Amino acid sequence: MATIGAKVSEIARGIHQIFLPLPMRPSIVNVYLVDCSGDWALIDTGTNGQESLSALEGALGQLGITFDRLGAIIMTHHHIDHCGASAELQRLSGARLYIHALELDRITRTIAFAGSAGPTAQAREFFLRHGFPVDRYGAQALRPTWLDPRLYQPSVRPDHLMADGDIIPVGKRRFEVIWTPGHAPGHCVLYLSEEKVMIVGDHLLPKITPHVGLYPGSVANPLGDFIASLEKVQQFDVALVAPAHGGVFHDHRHRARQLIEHHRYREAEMLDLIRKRPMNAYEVAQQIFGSQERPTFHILAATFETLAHLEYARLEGRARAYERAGQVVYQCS
Amino acid sequence: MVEKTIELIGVSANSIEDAVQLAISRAAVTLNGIHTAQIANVAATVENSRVVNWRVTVRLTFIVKEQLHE
Repeated sequence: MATIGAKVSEIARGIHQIFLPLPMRPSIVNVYLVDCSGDWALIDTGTNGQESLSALEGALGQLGITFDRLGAIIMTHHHIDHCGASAELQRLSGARLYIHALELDRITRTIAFAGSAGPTAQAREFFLRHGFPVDRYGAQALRPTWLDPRLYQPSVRPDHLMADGDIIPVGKRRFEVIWTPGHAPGHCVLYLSEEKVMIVGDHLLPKITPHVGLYPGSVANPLGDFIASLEKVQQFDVALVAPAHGGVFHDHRHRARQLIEHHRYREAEMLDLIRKRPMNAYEVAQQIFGSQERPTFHILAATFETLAHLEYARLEGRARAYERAGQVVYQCS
Repeated sequence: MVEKTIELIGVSANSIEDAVQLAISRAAVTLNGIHTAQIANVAATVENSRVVNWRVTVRLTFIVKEQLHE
């Protein structure tokens, strides 16, 4: 494999942030390579694209190691930029692979979706019930162009299924697993208590808010889970936050509170609309996120992030839902 | 102590109170310690002889914090 120059930055003693290219926005994912004194751990993998794998190999080369020095590969969640290359890296390194049990199920579903011609009949019915005019957009347009099966080659045979509170020992370091569902049902962040470093995947991003959507097969209340996970990480003593997109930062509590306030505001905007008249999730999303021309996948994501908000409000008693002409509409009194 | 005031326009489909609350909720995403909301102006967007939105200009005041250490 030809290596290319990679951007590597030591963010704390022996903890290296590596920028890997992505075929979509955000255009870079940070993975973390941790020197565990004799053994190395890799947190997240990037995609299975040649450019990304070469950049990763180049980064290892800059640190004077090769893939076979990896003892553990720990994945925060199942998305393409976080575990797309895990099968190939498992083969190259022989490292132990770790992922949360709920993410293994999502991997299987995402592989099926990436290789499918369009949504299943069940998914189609779900979209229509929430007002999303699936036939107007076309089945193929629902799949993001970057969800290329060649870039998404995650291992379906991890060595360990992680659970909240697990300690993963690698060399002299101990990674504590903190289950932070929301962005993905089995999303986990990794906490190094001695170093007070938290590797947060997509849970706490410094400049953007992670997508939290309610889709066919989702858990009942992903946004409620996400907000509970934002409260949860504030219990930990953290000096440095290492995100998957954007630069490292220090005050995890400040950013967690900011994200909670952002979602409170979004909900207030939505409740204001459905106080005036009942609407389905698609109608609310068109008002909140705008109805201008955008890639279909963005419209889909906006609709089902809106649905996550509306369901969160309904489950907490701030809105109610009922059927109208085969669709689910939400209302706030 | 120093305080700072910013001016925002909250827009609600329902009421003046809701428009004020939306402006405060949005400001609270990035500001801590808002303690006063002064209503500077109230306007309504009218379409087909009906009010469709309340547009309320609010001045929000918060205390400027000293931050000597991170």
